[in-house]
Amino acid sequence: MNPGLTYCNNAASTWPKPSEVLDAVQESFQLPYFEAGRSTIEGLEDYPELAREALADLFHFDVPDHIVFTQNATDSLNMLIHGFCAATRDRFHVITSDLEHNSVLRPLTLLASEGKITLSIIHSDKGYITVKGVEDALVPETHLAVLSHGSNVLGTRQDIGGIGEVLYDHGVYFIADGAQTAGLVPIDLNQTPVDAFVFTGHKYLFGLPGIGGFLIKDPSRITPVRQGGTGVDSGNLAHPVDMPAKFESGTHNYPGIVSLWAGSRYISRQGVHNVLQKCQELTSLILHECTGNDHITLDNPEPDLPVISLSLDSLDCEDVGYILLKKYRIIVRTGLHCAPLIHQKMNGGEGTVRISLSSINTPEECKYVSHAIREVADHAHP
Amino acid sequence: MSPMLSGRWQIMRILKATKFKQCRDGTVINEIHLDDHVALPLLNYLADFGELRIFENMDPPFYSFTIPGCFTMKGMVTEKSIHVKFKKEVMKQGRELFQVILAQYGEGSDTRMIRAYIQQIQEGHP
Repeated sequence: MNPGLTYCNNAASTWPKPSEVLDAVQESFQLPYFEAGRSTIEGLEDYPELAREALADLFHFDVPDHIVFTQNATDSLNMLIHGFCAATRDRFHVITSDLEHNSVLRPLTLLASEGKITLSIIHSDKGYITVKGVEDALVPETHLAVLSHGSNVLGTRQDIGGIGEVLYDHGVYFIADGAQTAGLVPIDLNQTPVDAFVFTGHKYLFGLPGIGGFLIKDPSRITPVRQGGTGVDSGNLAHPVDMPAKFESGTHNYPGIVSLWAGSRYISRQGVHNVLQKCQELTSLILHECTGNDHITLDNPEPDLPVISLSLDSLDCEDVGYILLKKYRIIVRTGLHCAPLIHQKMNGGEGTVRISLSSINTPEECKYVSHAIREVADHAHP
Repeated sequence: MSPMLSGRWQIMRILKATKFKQCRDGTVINEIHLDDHVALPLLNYLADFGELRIFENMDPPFYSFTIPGCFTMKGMVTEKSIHVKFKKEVMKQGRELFQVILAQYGEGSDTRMIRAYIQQIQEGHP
């Protein structure tokens, strides 16, 4: 650990991780992992089951077996998008938005280029898409909508409940990308009409990189795009259809799953409302300090999530990131943040400096970051 | 002028180069460690070949130097490490040019030869 580092790139990966997450992972290495249906000894923890229960509790989801582990949100989105397409014989229409990450845009663009789907990209307004915008994009052939819950560029949070109701009424399968909100925003999937909710472990669930997943209400609408060993029904050459084995083949990422379990419990114990409130207070500290400086442009002065995108009038974003790192030991993210369409709309694709906080950041760090940005902005002028 | 900015005239050597980042368009940013800090004489020398921006109000000053179509380098005046961004299409030539420019510094540089090489790269005929 480098004590001199101020880490503000949590929308990419949270750091540092809570000590209980690291302790749980280390502890899990003391004995062989319990691998259901494969090999075991007495007294081992079934970490996948524990993690599914912890996540079900966190997301208010009644069916833990319908929680599927993947590598990350990108992996989940690919499985769901391509799996939905494989299960749907005729060409169909898909709705997405200009706020999306490439993990949504690229699979959909590929399918469109192959003639398997037609695609409508809803234009956001100040980082938001509206229920009406979604409704207007619907056509009789619309079978799928893939939309982010939270923007990794502007920090806006979408009304997936309202959007989901419209999509449900029209029989459209709704995949919500919760990469930026899982663990940060209260989510009640029993009350929210989404068909599949995607999460990743390494962001606000405080897990290790390489673990993610999705929660799915009706798995019959998705064809698994991978087959292989599951530890069950091994004499059958056809891949199991039971959940979660339908979408999980091969050996699990057990250390990642342990971290997800511990991270989910950490969040639940803190209370998601409290986590979000703390993050919003930290974000406000920086916004307050940067507002009113003529050399700093805030792309969204009132984000819902702890994500601040900004630019300075005399330095490009890469230069700002470089100076913050080299002079102040502050880590931010610069560039397009893998969401090219919204950047094109905001500033012609120039990119931004993104400061993203977690509940582990401190007010002192936020003051230091504000001071650094103001100083760079002011000193960049003759 | 501060002693930090005055620097001194000497040959610059590359001690180590590592890949720092690969951009969406294939551009590669290398972190390059030099055997001495970058000071004003070197930057003034570089300015003959491209566009130099120095932010002297910053402490230490930040600079950015670009030869359009070839490479961009940036750093802090007190630092021995710099970031150099090479365009994907002319990666090999850009790196070679960067090394030639540094090697010529302090050796009675052949600016005409360097400018001709830059022009070749920019015109796509290296």
